[in-house]
Amino acid sequence: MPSFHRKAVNVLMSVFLVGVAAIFLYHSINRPRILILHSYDAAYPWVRDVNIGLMRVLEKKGSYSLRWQYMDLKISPSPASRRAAGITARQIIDEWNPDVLIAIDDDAQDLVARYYVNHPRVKIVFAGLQGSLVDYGYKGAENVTGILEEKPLKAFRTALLDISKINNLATVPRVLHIADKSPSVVFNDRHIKEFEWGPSAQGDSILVDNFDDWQKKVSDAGQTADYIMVSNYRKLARSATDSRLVPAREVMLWTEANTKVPVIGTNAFNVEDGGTLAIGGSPYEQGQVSARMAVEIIDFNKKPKAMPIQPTMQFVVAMRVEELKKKNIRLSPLYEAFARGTNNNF
Amino acid sequence: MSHTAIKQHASILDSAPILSSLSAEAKARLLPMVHEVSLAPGDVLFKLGDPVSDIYLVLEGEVELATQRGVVRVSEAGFIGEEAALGCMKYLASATAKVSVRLLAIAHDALVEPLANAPKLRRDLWFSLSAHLAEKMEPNVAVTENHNLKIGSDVVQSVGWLVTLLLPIAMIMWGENVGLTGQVKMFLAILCATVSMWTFRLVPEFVPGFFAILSIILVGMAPLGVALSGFSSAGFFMAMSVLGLSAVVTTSGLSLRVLLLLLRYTPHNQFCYQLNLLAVGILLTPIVPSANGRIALTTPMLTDMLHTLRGINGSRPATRLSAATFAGSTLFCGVFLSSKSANFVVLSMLSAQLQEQFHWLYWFFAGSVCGIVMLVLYLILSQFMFRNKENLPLSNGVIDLQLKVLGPLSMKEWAAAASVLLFGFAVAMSSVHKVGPAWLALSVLYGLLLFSFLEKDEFQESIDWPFLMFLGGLVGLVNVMFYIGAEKVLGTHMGWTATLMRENLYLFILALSGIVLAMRFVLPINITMVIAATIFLPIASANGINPWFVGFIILTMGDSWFYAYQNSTYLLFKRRSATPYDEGGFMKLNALLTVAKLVGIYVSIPFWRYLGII
Repeated sequence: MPSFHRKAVNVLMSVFLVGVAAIFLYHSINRPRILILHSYDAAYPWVRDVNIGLMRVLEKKGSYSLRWQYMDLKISPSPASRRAAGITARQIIDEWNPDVLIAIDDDAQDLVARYYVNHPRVKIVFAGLQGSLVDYGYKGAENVTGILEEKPLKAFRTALLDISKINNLATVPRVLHIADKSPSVVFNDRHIKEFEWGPSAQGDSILVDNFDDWQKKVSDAGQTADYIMVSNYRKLARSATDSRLVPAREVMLWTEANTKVPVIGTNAFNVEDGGTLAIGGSPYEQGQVSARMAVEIIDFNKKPKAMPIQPTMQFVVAMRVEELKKKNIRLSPLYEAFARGTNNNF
Repeated sequence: MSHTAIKQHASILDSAPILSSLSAEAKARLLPMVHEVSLAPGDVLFKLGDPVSDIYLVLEGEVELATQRGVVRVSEAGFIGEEAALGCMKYLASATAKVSVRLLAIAHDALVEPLANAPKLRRDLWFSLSAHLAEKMEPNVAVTENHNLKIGSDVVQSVGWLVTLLLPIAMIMWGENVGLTGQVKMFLAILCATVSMWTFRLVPEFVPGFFAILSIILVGMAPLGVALSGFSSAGFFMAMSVLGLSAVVTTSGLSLRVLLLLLRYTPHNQFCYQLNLLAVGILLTPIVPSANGRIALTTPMLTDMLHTLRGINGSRPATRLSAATFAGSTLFCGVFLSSKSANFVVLSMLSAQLQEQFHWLYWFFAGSVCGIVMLVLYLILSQFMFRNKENLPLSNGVIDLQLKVLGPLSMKEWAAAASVLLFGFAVAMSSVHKVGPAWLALSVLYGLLLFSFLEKDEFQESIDWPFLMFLGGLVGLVNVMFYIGAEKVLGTHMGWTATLMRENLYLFILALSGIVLAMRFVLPINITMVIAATIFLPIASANGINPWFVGFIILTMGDSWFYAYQNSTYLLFKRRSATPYDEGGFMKLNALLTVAKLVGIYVSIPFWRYLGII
């Protein structure tokens, strides 16, 4: 038979164990939960930079429970993969039951977030959204707010005019957007076509299926345009008969080597992939603003519907200064200073 | 064996002073593995240099032990043949009955596990052996055996070290010819040396992992946080905690008690015996994370059952029951996360989001269709191949006695049962409390350590620390592969795999299964699984295919084998059971089960699609 002291020790240890377990359990159950749902993979530079923006706000919120889910749809864009990624993400939301779902880019809205419109618990904060609020059922929804991603076409047009002027190129520059057919690019395509370029410039857009088409369009672009605008090319199949995706770097290096006109990206990562110049939306802003909205919902109990949807306010400039010099393209020193100041000179 | 004899043996095991350090559970396990031997004066029990078989406890009479240097006598309550339990290959003395002698023979295999958990008994046996042989001990016999063994392995080792030396050099010198540059070239050189050490089994399997991590750190290929990430991953702590929990379940005797109760209280007919043996193995699969451990637990049940059903050895019923014992313990390894160490390796290689998703219950759920198909096919095949109409009455005598030796449920057993139930309940409720399964397992382990249900010595001895080092090193290696982007290079060089993964899943399953089965002809199970997972999981990730799906195929097919040498668990089973079955029929069923596994995987595809896994 255990002695009285032994029994006392056992009782105290049991109380300690149960007490600690109860405290941790209570803490865990009541921790605010944010699920960050990315349409693409963690290695995609856009996603990486959105995460940097998110963490600028969320790393100060140690009491939050954060969970990341990547749908990897740039790596595997097939209909079956899209369906599977949507099912998995919805299962995770149903099981994890987050307070706030930060859904980033259009695929995450289309395949997942729109199923939770007016959900009694889950609040939706979207980011990187280029599609229509109506399409996703977000218009007037009680539990939805977020930040739109608009290509900085005005800034882009200003840059075109500056470059044309400094380098004595076309006075009314014509720009042709060439990209793959991923869902987000379809929205870009529409925006570019609808944007009021004139009277100082002209813009058009064309989407291709595979790398063979891409090469042809880039080679022919010199006949109809003074500049090529690129956005996304990660879903380019090698050819009509070979469905393997072409690495992004290979696409950009080939494009820079074979183009007859300057190529300008609309994402900073276009330069990271091997391009020479990009004027794009800020992924940091998308992350930072959406995280701030999530914090306001959780900490200040704000209603998403009462929080106005934010437009894109910031853009970034990225460049390879040495490559631009080699190509004999001159730019206002302001652009170079901006790129260097934001660590976007490669 | 008569009921009275078994009762006597139980009483002897319980009262022998030298066995006093064994737990009741260990003694209960020994019971079916002992038999009595009687010798007339002058009879020789064994000769110096004979291969070891049993260890003997003298019940009555006196035995003379003779070495080349002298003679000692061992009388009642003394042990002889201790070298059999202490790892010697041959007896170090000759034993002859001086008068009429009665001995209790214990199969030397039966003591391997108890000795691992009872250092005092091991020490006592060494003292006993030393006392018998003292200065007369002549180790030449054992040394000769080891020397002979070494000659064979020396050739393989020389080739292995040569490959380990030359392959990385070749990679560094000519890697650029195949498009490898910079850090990727250096990484693949390190990987080649590591894989070569595993393949040729040059060192214990956790050592190459250390080499890889050390090399990566010293050449500055990745930050410390990435290189050592395997030692801080949730998978590492999950594995450590589950191994600790399993140790408590087995050492407490709970697993044995459950098995005995199952055998005791189910109908006594051939089909139910088969189901029982199968169920016992399946029940143990998630609890005991080693196929060898499960076989060590279940084989005595089979042996005992066949002893009781005397005269059926080699018959269809015996083969059917033997196959059920083996299949129960080994067939469903892929279905339960905690069934074997390689499963933890695959879990740890998954991304953080997949590790969170494929916790214990979801892994089981995702693998359940494959498991059900394999079970059904097993039952159909076994029924078809071993059909017979023999009536096999089984006595409950031995089981009752074993239960008696175990005594009432101990505190440790209560704790083990409560821990398993608590862990299962907590994992099932994780959607409410949001604590990850790894941390739940660690909490349960903490509770067991706090109340000393798992003592410090047991914690050191029962947890497979070399495996955990192996796991940590391997996961670090894979994370470095992702960090430097080597998986993309690997994917480019194995483009056909990526194309198959994306375009023809059915053919990919067949191709991957073929590769894994081919590897199994030259590599052991764990190494096959680890190498295949290291290559194919990153390619799957890079191509948007769920790596768990690829890992599941590797784990399920990697367990397959066709020849005895391919599977150490089978060799253990064969030795422990003394092959009471028709080996031809057994092997035929085993080969057909490989097809059953493949069918299970294919049938699971619609289910995995429904779950969004593929």
